Amino acid sequence: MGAGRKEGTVTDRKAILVQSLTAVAAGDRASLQTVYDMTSAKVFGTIIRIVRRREVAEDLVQEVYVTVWRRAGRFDPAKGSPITWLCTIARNLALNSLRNRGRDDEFGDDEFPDLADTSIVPADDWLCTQEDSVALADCLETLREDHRRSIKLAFFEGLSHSELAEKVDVPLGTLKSWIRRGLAGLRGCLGG
Amino acid sequence: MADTTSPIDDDAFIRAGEHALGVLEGEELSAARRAMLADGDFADAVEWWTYRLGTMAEATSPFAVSAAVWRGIEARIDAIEASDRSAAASLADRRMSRSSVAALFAGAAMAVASLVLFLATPRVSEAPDQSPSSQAGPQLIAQLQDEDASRKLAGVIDMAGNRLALNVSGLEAESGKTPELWVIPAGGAPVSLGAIPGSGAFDRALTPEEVRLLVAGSTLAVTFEDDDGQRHETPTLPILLAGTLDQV
Repeated sequence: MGAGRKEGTVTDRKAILVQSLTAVAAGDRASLQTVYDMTSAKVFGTIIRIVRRREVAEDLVQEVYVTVWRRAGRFDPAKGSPITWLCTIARNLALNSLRNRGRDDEFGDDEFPDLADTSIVPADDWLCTQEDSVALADCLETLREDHRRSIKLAFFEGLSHSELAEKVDVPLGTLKSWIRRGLAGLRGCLGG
Repeated sequence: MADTTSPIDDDAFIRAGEHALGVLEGEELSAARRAMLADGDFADAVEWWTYRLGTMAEATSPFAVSAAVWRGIEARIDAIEASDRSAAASLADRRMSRSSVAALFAGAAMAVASLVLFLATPRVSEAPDQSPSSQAGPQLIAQLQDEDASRKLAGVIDMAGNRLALNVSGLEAESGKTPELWVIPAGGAPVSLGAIPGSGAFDRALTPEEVRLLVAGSTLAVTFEDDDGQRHETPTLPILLAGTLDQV
């Protein structure tokens, strides 16, 4: 677990990714491999947690980087970090796959770190730390545990209200309230 | 990007967050989709949340991927480049026959359909109410966007009132070019619906001929064309957006 280059500072890694995506947009295949080497473990982590089947997830990882090859020119560093952009593409592809194929559950929950532990990611695993990422992480920590966990489950596992309610075994109305109050807390925190 | 001084009320802003998070289903999802079509402020709020929540990606636990994946990516890019070279060799001026373009649009529509953001499509099995308003009468809708949602088009065709309404973003063209809307009937050739704005809302009446072409199952698509005030005979590649019209 945890492939990808980790040398240099987080700032260095972000700069390398931004430069590499610029080069990919110009058709540089070597730069695509640099992006892949640095990010594929996180991209795969994003996808496998949602679709839960390795074969499907690896096909989707291919789709992500083929998309990057075609669309790197669309990446705008002013709008977000490279890893946010890549993982947004990955999450969307995974959620679409989930809708079309359903969840296979080759991997169970115990295959993944508990979401409560992912609030603090080792610095070596950060690719593009930036103000907004840190701000959101800090704001999540200000939420009640059940609110924070519900939002994280929705994000990382692609669960709907009713799926979340079933997973955490609370009434649907309670779960909805947790999500809404959690989002309200995030809005207040992020909006300063 | 919107900020938290969004003009929409607090309840709607939080609902936008739920939509961005992907938890809505059933009628709540349908209502959010209607708001995405009809309310630019709501769409901005969804974008704000999508970006903010997306920064959680840094907290994703890495997971080892097999070596075969990179080889697969290289093979697919090799195939893309070979296809591009072949297409370039066969296209003297980047314009194609109407039948070739129709086939390409069909392929693009299928590809886009598989990539439409989770924001735009429901995960619930029941058929949602996608009508963009509570008014009676049949309507067609299309929600098109590319992989990273930098280009979006939400279209509503009021079949009773014979009107076309669009919300567009990210389709600003370079000088001398304009985005042009196309309809491709199933099995037919593309027909231009004329130039559209690169961003913002757009509403106009439809001609009887256009109404005849705009049916459920037809493909709606956008390309950049010369901004010469004309409706063009054939579209120019690349296809920026493509997707099917659905009746609601």
